[in-house]
Amino acid sequence: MKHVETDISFLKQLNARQHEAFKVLFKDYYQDLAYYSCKILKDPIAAEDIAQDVFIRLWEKENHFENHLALKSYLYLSARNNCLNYLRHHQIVSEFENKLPEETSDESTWNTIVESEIISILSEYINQLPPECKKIMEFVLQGYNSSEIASQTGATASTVRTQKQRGISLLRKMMSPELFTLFIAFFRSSE
Amino acid sequence: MMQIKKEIEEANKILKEIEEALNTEDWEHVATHDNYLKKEIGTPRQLYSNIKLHESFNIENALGKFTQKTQSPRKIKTIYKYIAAACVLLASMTYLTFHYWGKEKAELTPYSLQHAYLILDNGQHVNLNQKVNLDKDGVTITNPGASKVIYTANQNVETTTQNKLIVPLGAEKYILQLSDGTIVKINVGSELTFPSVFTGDNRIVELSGEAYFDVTHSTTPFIVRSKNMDVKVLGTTFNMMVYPEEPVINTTLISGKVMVTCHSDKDSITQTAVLNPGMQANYQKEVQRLEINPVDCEYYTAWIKGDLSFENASMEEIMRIIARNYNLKIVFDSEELKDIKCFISIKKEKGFEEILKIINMATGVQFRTENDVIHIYK
Repeated sequence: MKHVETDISFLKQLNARQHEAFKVLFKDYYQDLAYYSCKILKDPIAAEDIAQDVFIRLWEKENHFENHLALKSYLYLSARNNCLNYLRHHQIVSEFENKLPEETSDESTWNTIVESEIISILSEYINQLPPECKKIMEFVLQGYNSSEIASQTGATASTVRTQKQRGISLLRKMMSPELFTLFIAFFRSSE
Repeated sequence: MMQIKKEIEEANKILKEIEEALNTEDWEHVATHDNYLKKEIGTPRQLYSNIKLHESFNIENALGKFTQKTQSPRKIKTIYKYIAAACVLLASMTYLTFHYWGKEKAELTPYSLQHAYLILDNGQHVNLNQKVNLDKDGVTITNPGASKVIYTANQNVETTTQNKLIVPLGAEKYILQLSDGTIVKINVGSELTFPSVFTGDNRIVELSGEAYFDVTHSTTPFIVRSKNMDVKVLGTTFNMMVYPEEPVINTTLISGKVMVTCHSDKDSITQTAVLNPGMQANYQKEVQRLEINPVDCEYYTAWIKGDLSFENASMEEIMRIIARNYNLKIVFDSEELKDIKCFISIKKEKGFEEILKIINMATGVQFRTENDVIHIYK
């Protein structure tokens, strides 16, 4: 989970422009925004520049976010606008060179947000798995079945089965934010 | 914000499908409703490759760059350095204000926190509300005054790069001098994309918004492209108003001669007209109608002198322009108020509160603010 989703004071710190909080936000969202931009621009270097830009602009402007959804919304929309501007700018260049400009679909950039959210969560998930489990789940994610995994890794069929079950139950746990919300609600009411 | 909520809900829904697929080893039922998503995250090989792509972006390096660009060290010695630097800055700013920046008045109203800036071809942002002196690929970029930036090409420059000047909503208009000496005065809420130096058979720039051009005479034609209207000139002064949100766009010729070409969004049908001084080409985008009329050039270039002028304009149009100039959100509580017409000419620097007061006195419409949105009612 991102810090801004689980820590109430974090949003306050961001609104108060505390640099440490910005660094934490950066670590939480940089890859998401770079990935998102890369899928739109098909250029990982430009994508990283754009992601960098979003955070720098966020730091430079006075902002006030009511909740984590507003912040997340801002980050994605900011990246999206930067990407569309970048594409328009490069369309002009290719017009100058008498090449046919590529089509940019506004609609597809929304779909890419769904994709980025999914990848973001799965990436976080994979990277906090215990090592034995991670090794097996990486194969499961690639579509290998249990017997293929066993032969690829040299693990026994029962190890593969156990680790896979473990991995899936950890994924389920991660995707149950209701528990987190209850947790936070409890803390809020006791403040 | 509601849109993002939808995206997140859909992502969660698909994640449950992925969880199922991981369990059953059957990926058939993941993201069946959308071809793009099916390909990117409903296919295990591609899904895994995307996860790896996500991980390939190096956070530490990027964070280093971010910190470099945004953090100031807080050592005690440095604080003294800052105090000293601030004094020098204050002194030099006072000097500059009196000697170089002439009659330009610094405005302290909130909306002028917005300021014009450049985006260079490498994506670098250059703030123009500070002194700029850059040398890039044989082109010098300087801003000798508060509201002007100049591009000078050194001899024998061969490479040209695409640059953009953006005047955000609520910012003050800004002046750009291109490498051929052409002066462009750019209004609020506008963007001009231009090459650092003109090479080739044409001088081409792209405009979204409004700008006034004083084009240096040359045998090379100067072309301004915008979404639905292109203007071609040899050497001339004209005003081009092509805000994307305006239903009717126009170009007004003050001197010289221009050729205006209009095209719709969808098809490639174009209409062309040649303008003489004092004439305006006026294009209604919806119905694709191009009209040429003699007009009062003063009225269409009033914005350059800082005037907001409306002659028999509808309240809807007036509010649209005021919203753009001050970066406000304005909402009509009743549709019929949109059609009220009036004649007003006000100095923009008076501020929007003063202007709304004047409109109230002239027409009787009233304004109230609710959550940063201005409502018009009667």
